[in-house]
Amino acid sequence: MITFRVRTVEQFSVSRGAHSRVMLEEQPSREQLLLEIERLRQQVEDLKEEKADLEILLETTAEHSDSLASELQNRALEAVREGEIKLAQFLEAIPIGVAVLDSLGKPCYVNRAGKQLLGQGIVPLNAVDDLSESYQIYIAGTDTIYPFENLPIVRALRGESTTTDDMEVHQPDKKVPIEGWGTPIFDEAGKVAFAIAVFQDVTERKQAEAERHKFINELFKLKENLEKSLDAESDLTDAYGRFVPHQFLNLLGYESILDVNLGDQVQEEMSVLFADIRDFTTLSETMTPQENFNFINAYLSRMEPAIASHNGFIDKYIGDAIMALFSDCADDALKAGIAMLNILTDYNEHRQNIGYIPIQIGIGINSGSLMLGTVGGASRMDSTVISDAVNLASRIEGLTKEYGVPLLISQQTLERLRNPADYAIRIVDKVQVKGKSQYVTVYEVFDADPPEILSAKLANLALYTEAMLLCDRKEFRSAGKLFEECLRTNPSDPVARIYLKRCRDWRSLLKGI
Amino acid sequence: MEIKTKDYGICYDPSTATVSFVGSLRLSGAEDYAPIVQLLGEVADVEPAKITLNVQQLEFLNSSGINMLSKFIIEVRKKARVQMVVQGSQRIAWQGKSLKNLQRLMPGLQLELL
Repeated sequence: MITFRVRTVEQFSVSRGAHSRVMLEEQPSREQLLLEIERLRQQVEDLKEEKADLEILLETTAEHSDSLASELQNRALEAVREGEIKLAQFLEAIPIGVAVLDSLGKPCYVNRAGKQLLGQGIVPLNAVDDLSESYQIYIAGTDTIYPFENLPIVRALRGESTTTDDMEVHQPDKKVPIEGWGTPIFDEAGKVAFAIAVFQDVTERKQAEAERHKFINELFKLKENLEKSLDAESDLTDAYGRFVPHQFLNLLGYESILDVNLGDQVQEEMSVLFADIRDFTTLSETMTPQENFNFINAYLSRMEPAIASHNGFIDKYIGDAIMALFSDCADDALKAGIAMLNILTDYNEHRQNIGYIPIQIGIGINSGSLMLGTVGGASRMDSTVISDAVNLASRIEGLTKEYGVPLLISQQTLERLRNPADYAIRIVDKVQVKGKSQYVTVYEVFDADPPEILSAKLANLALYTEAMLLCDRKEFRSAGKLFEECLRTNPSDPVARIYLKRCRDWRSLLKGI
Repeated sequence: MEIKTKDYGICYDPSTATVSFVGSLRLSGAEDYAPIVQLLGEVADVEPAKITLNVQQLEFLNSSGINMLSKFIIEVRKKARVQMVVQGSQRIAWQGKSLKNLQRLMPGLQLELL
């Protein structure tokens, strides 16, 4: 309708021409005014509608907000209530007593376990002073009412966190020993809002403690007796250990000499070391019996560590001689021998300093299978080693005197060395094993020789080895020449000297034939 | 057309001219709601015979959100030929009252509370 009217006005103006347009500008016609009024009315209608819309919009938004707010609050309350219910359920389910006092000291909560322990729940109190009396709390093991001011829950009212285990609740039919903790709960201002006590029945623990005390006392007595026995056994074992080596027992599979039976034996792959003081008899004759023993013991006590530190043990002392055994590894035995010679060098220096003559020793080492066992009768028993290997070791030791060198080892020992090149070694002789047709090569180990001798022997080693080879082939003339050469650079080489002499002897013998 | 975040999703199905709201709409102010207003505007511009707003799975709508929906209703009302259906859920507390208020803005609005 509005559209139609506007169009009419336009048509009207156009048909009236320029004049009437001027008229219209100056004085609006009635129709125009009506039109304007209509337009304004329409605007007012629109505005009214918009206003209504806005009001509804406002109301809608506000109501929406309200319903959201109330819903959120409901949910929050529900969550809190659920939390509270859960918390209460938790507290009720805890198997330890929980009690709460409000800030005025009035009981406001006791859980199920608490009620059982106290024999009653919340009791109306006149004052906190009556707490011990009302709940029948006594000092444990007495008939004295527990001083209320010392109760952990009362101390918690004063802001303290404490614990005690000397409380006892007297119920009509029983007395319950109680351990309790008191803790204050503070409000935002830092004042005590609640005091919480947690407490439990410690009957079983008190009993267990008493039993434990008794048990510990008994154990202590037992331990004292045991210690005495053990000390006695240990003393005994130590004493025996000095006569029968522990290692020997261990090889037989025993901890203590007390367990050993006559005839126990074991077969082991071992190295045997023999060490003997050269010309001891001559030396011995110049000393009194006491001096003899003093000297031997001074010497032996110096040698013993060299053996022990190389995992060996002394099987026996035979006068001034030492027989030592080494399990498995030939290197241990050889290193022990070298160490003994080095110790001897120091010892001799010491002897010379105080005016004694230096001594010389010979060491022989052989390796092989050994039988270790116990021998004897019912009243006298000893540990012993039975083996050809021992005999050969002793024989090799004897050879040291013959060749004037301190340390000889058998082929069997050489073969068992991890790396023979680690040592200064040269061939010396072949010996026939007693009662057997086979020969065993014997080697000299000269690592412990004085440095100048050591280097001279090493320098001649190729020459010397060649000479020994020629000797073996009975080419005594060429061999002798090489030995002569060796002696030119190292005149003090006793082995080369002996062989040179032998070469000459053989040659003259052969010539004679 | 579709708007999707981890909190809410708005999806337009042209075959039924249905705009579905899912999740929780808690954008702050008209500015953040602009993309949604634009989506709704585009739907209205097509002038389908019937527009359906499905809010059955819209768990939460804040005040700016209801404001936006109200304005959209007014816009649709102005297009005399377009019919409006709002589908809500009795289960969701805010929908009962607030969706009825939408009817006040557009008496012809068809409200289906399931």
